[in-house]
Amino acid sequence: MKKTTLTLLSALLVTTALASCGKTGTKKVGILQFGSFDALTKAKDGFVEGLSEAGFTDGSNIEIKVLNPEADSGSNKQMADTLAAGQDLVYGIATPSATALKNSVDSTGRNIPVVFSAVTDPVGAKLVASLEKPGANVTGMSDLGPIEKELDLLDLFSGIDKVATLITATESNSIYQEDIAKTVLAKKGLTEVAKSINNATEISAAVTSIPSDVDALWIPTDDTIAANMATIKSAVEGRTTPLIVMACDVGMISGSIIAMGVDYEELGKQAGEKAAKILNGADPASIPVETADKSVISINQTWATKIGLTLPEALLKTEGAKVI
Amino acid sequence: MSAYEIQSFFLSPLSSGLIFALLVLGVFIAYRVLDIADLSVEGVFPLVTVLSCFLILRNVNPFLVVLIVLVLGVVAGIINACLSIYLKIPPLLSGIIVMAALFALSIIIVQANKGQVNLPSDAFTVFSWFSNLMLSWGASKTWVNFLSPIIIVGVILALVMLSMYFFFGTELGLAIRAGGKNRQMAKANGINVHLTTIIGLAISSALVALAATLYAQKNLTGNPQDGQGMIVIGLSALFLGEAIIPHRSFKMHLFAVVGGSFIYWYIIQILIQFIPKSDTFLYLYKALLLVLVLAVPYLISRFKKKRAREKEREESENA
Repeated sequence: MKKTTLTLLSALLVTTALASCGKTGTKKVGILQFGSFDALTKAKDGFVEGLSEAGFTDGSNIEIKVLNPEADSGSNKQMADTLAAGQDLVYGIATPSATALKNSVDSTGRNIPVVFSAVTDPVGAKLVASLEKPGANVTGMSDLGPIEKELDLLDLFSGIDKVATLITATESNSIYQEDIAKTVLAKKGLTEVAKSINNATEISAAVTSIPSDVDALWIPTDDTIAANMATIKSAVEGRTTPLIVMACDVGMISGSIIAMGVDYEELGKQAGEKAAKILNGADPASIPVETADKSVISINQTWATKIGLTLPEALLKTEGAKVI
Repeated sequence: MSAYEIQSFFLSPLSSGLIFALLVLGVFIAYRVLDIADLSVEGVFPLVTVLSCFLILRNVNPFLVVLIVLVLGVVAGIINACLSIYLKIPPLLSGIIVMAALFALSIIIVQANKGQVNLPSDAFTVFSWFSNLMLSWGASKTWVNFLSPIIIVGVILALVMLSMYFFFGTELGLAIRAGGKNRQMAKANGINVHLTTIIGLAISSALVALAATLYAQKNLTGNPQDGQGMIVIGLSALFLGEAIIPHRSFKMHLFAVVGGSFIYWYIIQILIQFIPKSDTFLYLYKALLLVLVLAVPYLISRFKKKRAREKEREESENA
């Protein structure tokens, strides 16, 4: 019995090994997506689309391998090693995956290009030397949204003096953005009520604990919160006074009044365009890191009306705003 | 597969396996030697990864960092043990309490550092020190990158295993083992089981801290999320090793535990490398493979026993 099991296992291994040997001449592109969060999946789909629009289609002239450690940092590193050893270009989605890929590529000594997206602070993460001139084999897209522009929209409302912020304390991107928001709020003379959670189960309690004299709630591009906008929504609806919920990712509009900033699909697409340039021979060292071209804005008037919030006319007339 | 892929296929899980073997040894002391379900691992690990990077960013010598986190691990273990012994908090809960407190500390450190505790690729770590040493001896760069972590962690692991083997053979070590095997009997023989629990958990946490700082220094990153799933990795590796490698003596048990860590990471590597669609189904495959690896040795032994019994019966009928 032992023998048959062994034979079966080795047969399985050999066939899969053969199956994974692709045609020669096609470029191999590896994607490391840190977890199955909605924003990250969009950044992956956008990337594949961006590549195919630039003439690189999976299965014909490139071969795409996607790995996803589901936020487990041990497997993340292992997968990064595997991709760094076997692919011709790697794409890291979210900071932990992007940094792991960079370090793995560094240690194999193969020096293949690394493209990233959904990284808020690429310089702080030690991915690139500077945004304009990355300087090595790494470039990509930052998902830092126009935080100041978004908070400026609060000027359109009257009588606002307290703004709550909510972040997941374990997400480095969120901490970085909250730091920016803090500065902006201080400049505007608004009081910040900072709230943070460790995991999704604390969201409801955190929102409920926001005092009733707070007028607005600002949320950064935060994977954990983005996945739980329904919880935000019901917690806000349970309040006696309405709250202007602002988010930095348009994917979060279902549970917010204003969502301005990053469209992850677009972000991924632009990362895909960068990857295509590199596959065509461009040097990543001279491709600057960018933020998404279009800063998009969505306004959820339906929900605003439901919680008894009157939106100023000027807000609804914001250029390019999508009112739902 | 290219030469790089083959090299990475064998060496990448080897270096993960070596680093995590230290963690699994820590888990082994808590779960097997002391018989305590200790969950503080998931707090010690992220705090140490974050703290290590934080200190190295501020130019603290990496060897001093190792020493600092070892002390931190010992303190965490002592607090964990004291919570359950003197405040009568059930051990499972005291582990969770320590985990939560240390997790909070790691978040505070990350916030003080504006959300990032990543090291630049030229940071001075235990590994870069050894790589430079090997380069100065004239080794080639590709090999240094792959081999230096394996050699350095391998030496540390060997030293740890050796000292564990000797320590658990001393009077104190035997007392710790006895306290875990049968508390009442150990007490009746005049062993201070409170003291042995405190020492045992301190060693266990120190080993986890050692694994964590090496992990952070190798991967150049520290993150409060790093603790996620660590106890699962530790326990899976422990059970895998015990299921596959025979472990009658304490010495063999140590080898089984370390072997389990390698088996675990090679399983993951095989899944990543060969299984199509592993991005969606990785965890399902992992579950199935774990069942297979754990069940096959048992089924084989049952099959053998059954055959032996049949043979016996045949012989007795013939006689």
